[in-house]
Amino acid sequence: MDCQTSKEYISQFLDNELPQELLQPLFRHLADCGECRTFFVHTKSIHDSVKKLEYVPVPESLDQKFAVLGMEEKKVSVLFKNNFVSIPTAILSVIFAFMISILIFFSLDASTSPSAFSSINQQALGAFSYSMMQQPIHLQ
Amino acid sequence: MNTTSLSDEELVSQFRNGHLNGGSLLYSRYKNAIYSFCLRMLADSESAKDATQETFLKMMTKIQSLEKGMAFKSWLFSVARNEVLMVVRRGKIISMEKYDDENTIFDQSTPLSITIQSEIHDKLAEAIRRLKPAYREAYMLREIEGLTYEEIAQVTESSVSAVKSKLFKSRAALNEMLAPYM
Repeated sequence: MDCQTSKEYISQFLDNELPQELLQPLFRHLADCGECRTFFVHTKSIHDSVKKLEYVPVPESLDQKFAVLGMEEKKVSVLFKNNFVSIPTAILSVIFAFMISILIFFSLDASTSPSAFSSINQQALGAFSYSMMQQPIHLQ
Repeated sequence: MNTTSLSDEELVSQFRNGHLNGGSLLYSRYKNAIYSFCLRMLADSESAKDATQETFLKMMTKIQSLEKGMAFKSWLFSVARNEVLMVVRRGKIISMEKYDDENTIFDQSTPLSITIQSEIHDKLAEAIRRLKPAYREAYMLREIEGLTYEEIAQVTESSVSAVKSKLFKSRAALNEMLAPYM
C-alpha cells in the first residue's frame, strides 16, 4: 500500500466508512510508515476537536420572525409572550375601551331622563369597567 | 407526549398535516446548525442570516416537496446550500469559479499564523473557513453535521467518490494548515 492510498483510507476510517477487509492492510502500513502514523494522529486530533466546535446561535431577530410557527398549539397565551401584542398596545386598548364605554354612557344618559334606566346603565358601566380592570396584562 | 423527543419524520408529518408546532420544533432543532453552516460558508453574518431565513421560509412553503425516503436533515441542508449559492450569485461573496475550483483546496494567501493568534478552536474554525467552499461544505456536513457520504452526495449534488475525495483533501489541507500548532 502506498502512502496516498493509506491517507485516503485513514480519512474513511475516521468516518467509519472503511470496509472491514481494508483495516488490516491499513494498520500494517501504519506500523511501518512514520509519515502516515503522524498523518493519522494529527487527522484524528483535528477530527476530535471539530466535534467540539459549537454552533453559532441564530440572531434573535430571526427567532422573532419565526415565532409565529408556535401559535397553533399554544393559542392565545402565546400572544403576549411572543410580543405579537405589545404591552403599550394592550394598555391603550383597555383605555380606549374604557373611553368608548364612557361616551356610550353619556350619550344614553343625555337621551333619557334621570330614571331607573340611567342607574341601570351606571351599574352596567361599573360592572364593565370592573371587568376591564380584571383583564390580565401579561408583562414579560 | 413530549414533543421534543419526536423524530424529524414525525415532526415533518405533523407539519405537513397543518400542525404549525411541528414546524416550530423543526426550526428550533435546526436553526443554529443551519445558521452556523451558512455563516461558515459565507463568512458574513448578515448574508448568513438572510440565507437562514430563506431556508426556513422554504421549509414552510415547500415541505410538501420533500420526497419520501429522503432524510429531512439532508433536504434542509440542500435547501440551505442552494440559498448560500443564491447569496454567492447575488452578492459577490465568493465567485462561482472559486467555489468549484479543483486546483486549490484552501486559500494560501494569508498565513494562518498572522490571521490567528488565539485558542486551538479559533485556529481550527479559521482553518476550516480557509478551505475552498466546495471542500468546506463537504467537510462540515460530515464532521459537524454527521451526514453519511450518500447524504452529502445528495446535498451537494455530487457522487459518493467525489465526496470521499473532498473529505480526504480537506483533511490533508487542515493537517497542513494546523501542523505548526500540533
